[in-house]
Amino acid sequence: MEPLIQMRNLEKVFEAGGSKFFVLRRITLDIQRGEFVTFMGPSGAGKSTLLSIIGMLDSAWNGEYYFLDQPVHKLNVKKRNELHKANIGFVFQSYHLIDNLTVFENLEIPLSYKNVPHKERVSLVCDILDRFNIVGKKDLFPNQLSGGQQQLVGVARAVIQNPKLILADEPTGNLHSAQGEEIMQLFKRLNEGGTTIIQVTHSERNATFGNRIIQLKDGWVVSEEKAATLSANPQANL
Amino acid sequence: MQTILQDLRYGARTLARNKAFTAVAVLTLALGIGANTAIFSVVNAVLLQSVPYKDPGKLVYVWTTMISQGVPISGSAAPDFREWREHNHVFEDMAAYTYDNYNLALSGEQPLRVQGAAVSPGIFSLLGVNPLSGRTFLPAEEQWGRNHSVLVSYSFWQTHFGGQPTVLGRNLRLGNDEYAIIGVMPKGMPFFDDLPRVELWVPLSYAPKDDMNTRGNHYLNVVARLKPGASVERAGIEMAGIAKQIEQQFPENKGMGAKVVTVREQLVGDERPALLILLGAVAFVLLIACANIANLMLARATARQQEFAVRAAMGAGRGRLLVQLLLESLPIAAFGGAAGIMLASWGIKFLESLIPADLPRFNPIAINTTVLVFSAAISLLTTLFLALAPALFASKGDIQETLREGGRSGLEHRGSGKLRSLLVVSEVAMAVLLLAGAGLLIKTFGALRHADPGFSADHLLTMQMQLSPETDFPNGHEDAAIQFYRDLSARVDALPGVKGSGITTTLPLGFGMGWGKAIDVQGHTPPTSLDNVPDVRFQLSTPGFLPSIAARLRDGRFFTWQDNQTAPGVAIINEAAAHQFFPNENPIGKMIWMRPPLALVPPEFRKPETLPPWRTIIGVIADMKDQAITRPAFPTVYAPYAQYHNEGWGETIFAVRTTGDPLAATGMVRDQVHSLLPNQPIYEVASMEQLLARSLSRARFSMLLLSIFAALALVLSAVGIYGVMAYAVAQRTREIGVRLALGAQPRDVLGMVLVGGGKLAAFGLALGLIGSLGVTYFLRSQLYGVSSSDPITYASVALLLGLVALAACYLPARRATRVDPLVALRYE
Repeated sequence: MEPLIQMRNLEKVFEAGGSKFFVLRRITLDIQRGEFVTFMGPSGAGKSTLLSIIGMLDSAWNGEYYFLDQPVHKLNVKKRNELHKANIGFVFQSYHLIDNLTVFENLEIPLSYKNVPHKERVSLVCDILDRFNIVGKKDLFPNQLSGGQQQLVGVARAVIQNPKLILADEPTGNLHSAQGEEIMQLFKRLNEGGTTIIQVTHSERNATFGNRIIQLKDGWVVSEEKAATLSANPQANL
Repeated sequence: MQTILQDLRYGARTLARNKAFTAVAVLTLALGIGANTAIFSVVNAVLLQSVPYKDPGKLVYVWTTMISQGVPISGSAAPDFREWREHNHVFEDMAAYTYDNYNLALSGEQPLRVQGAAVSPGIFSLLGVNPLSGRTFLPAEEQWGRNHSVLVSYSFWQTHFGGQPTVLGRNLRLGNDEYAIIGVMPKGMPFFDDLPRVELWVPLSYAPKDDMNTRGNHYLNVVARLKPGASVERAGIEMAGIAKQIEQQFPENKGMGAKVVTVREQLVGDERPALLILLGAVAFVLLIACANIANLMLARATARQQEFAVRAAMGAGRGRLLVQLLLESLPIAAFGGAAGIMLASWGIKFLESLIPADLPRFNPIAINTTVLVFSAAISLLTTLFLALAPALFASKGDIQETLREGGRSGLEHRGSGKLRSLLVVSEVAMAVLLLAGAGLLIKTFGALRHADPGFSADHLLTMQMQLSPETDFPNGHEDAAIQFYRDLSARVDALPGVKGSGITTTLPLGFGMGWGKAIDVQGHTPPTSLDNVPDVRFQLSTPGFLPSIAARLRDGRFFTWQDNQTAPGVAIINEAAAHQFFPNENPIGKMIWMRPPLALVPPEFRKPETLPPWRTIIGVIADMKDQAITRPAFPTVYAPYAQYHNEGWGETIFAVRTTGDPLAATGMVRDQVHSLLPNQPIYEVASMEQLLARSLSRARFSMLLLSIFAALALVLSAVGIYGVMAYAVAQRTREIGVRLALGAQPRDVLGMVLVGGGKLAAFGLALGLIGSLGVTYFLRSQLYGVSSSDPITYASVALLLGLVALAACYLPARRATRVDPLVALRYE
């Protein structure tokens, strides 16, 4: 089976004051379906940029990028958007729930952008609320939830459209350790259910939930390795 | 559909959560939409709505032209009207009318003066109007002796007969004749522009040898209905051809042509420029209001940038975001529109009190379907405008960057900041346009108020009456009216608080009846054809009239009662006549004749008994503004009533100079009239100052409204500048904190903010002043005594706007100086 993601010599450059700054350099990598990949590296390494490119939020780059065998580098904005809507879910460090929408409505949003009929939307939202055990929170607004609860909703929002790929940018960065562990366990279960997950993290502990770690530095992929086995004491790695 | 409802619900919820934003936005929009709706309702009633007659586009006026005499259009002579009606092939029908007043005596009521019209029998079928009850005139009722039928208006029927159905067949005594009521016209039916408002109609009919039925009296309004397929142009060509034929047959028609004008153009053509200027001005107010709200929306969109980035990450395309923003703007526009319509309904009441009495109104000024459609349309346009600005930037930002900013919101997209500044610059520029326009109109109004009318309007009471030889002096001789005037003046002059009084045919500024006459000056080379015979305005007066209104005698003397029928003919002329006819000589003692030179008059009109006397000019007075204060006086000849005894029976004006409040003397003067003629109606009672104010009512209307719009624009612009500067200060709090931490003094920060705001205001001001020079060019027709590029007005506008902008910037600037560097940097 072809990989879910294939990148060949992908580069991203910023031009400022007549100089060029490379954010990503000759990125060549494959990510298979069902993998749980972690991007790691120091600040400014290009992790989040790479995640955005994979998520098709960024289109200003050069090189080749295939997603589900589709040449993303050749697709126009509309087709990229379609591909992104159909297959990718996002989880953000700052949750990014919409303040003026209830939990229910926040969960409904990606479905409405996919033009899912109203009845089906309601049914899917009810399912996910049930699955994430947050039925009691459905009418609350984000500011009425704890950080962990907000991120739970954030993950639920990413999952609700049943994406093939979940992109998570520092998903536990704003959570305390117990809440972070809970979210990571959730990702693990989703991955075991067949969803490909790519996360960006600084946390060695979080990286152990995945099965491959890609290290970036100054825009280059500097190493790829298998993730270490989970420690018996989860707190030790956080 | 569900998605739309969801977005709408979300929009409404967002508004409910941001009450201050919503209130400001809705109120601002309501002001803009309300002002536009109110003005549009006037424009709609006056300019856009059809004359409420059948197929009004086919209705035209046919006028006589006397181009060679400088008269572009004139009423028509009865014999010409009949020739036109008989010989044309372009009209289905043609009818004529003339306004007339009647003294009316109804049992149990004070004697009344009622406004009527004498009309050709076919006029109502031509207009497509049927009576509410009874019938309209029959063709036979045009014949003299069979013409004693009258149609009454609905309001007349209600007021004087309580709406009784038995009114048909009853008689009305109009002057000396009994008329049978044959019908009641429908409620609200205007008679053309309803100026004046006609209460009853009689058939247009002439007694044998009636002087009004000759080719020399041009006073009929002729209306016609075009045949299907006939155009105004074609009708104009045909009527000019018929006029040419009449001219060849009748020498007195020499130089006369015909002109065809649509009824709409005739009735409202003159009103169009002023109303369209007001509509344009009020549109600027709405644009400024929209710019202000768009600024608020942009600020909000900046704060919501993260939300838009999240939505984009969830799969929302730019179109989808635009739809959402449109739906979110809809409640603001809907509430703003609804509140605007409410404001407009109040505004219309306010406008009603300002609208000049002589503005044609054949339709009521009201919020009707057309006005509502207009309001809905501008509300929708506003929605688009409001949604467009934030939508441009909603998905333009770097999604990845925005999302990475995490909780830090409010980083403004550079383009959004530029757009906000651009909006404020545009607001200021538009406010300058309105202020400059209002400034010029205020100066115009001031100039009009201080313009010299050539007489003194203070402490002057005026009233009208009309004497009838048969009713008022059944046994009197032909000089009875003159004697009555003399007696009345003597009695009124003797009243306490009265300085003098006099009677005339026409008051200055176009009040009362005026007429023109040909003039011939003895000793001057006579014109070679009737075409070239000059015209003057002709006016009769008693000896007391000119001194009473404080006319300024430049040379010679005023009339006395000794200037009577047995004395040599005398005349007083104004300076305009003196300049025209006696440019290099003293007119006093010169002889004039109020007819064309005898050689040009057809032989049948040369009978000595019909010829008027030569008149010696005994006085020259300063020009009095006879049509409007903005127009130069027409060359005018005054003659004593006592030398025109057979003309004393027309409509006359009584002017009384008082020492105190002129209107307070009304009762005393009325008593004196009634002590001589108990049943004489007195009407149109007003002080000359009121008449002067009425003559300025159009200028006042435009000036007041434009000033209100300009004031609104100024306030909205000040709010706009304040909003942008306050926002900029909030955005730059950290920067200001750093500057203060690095040693900047509060005055440096104050200066920095003031300079920022000042730049925007200065750009707007410069653009506005340049634009004003172009736009106020269109105001020229409304200006008097001031140039459209008046430097003082522009300098005042610049100063005013500069001060307001400074005040608007000062508050945010002061706030900036109070930034605590520690707090600002801790926030970072």
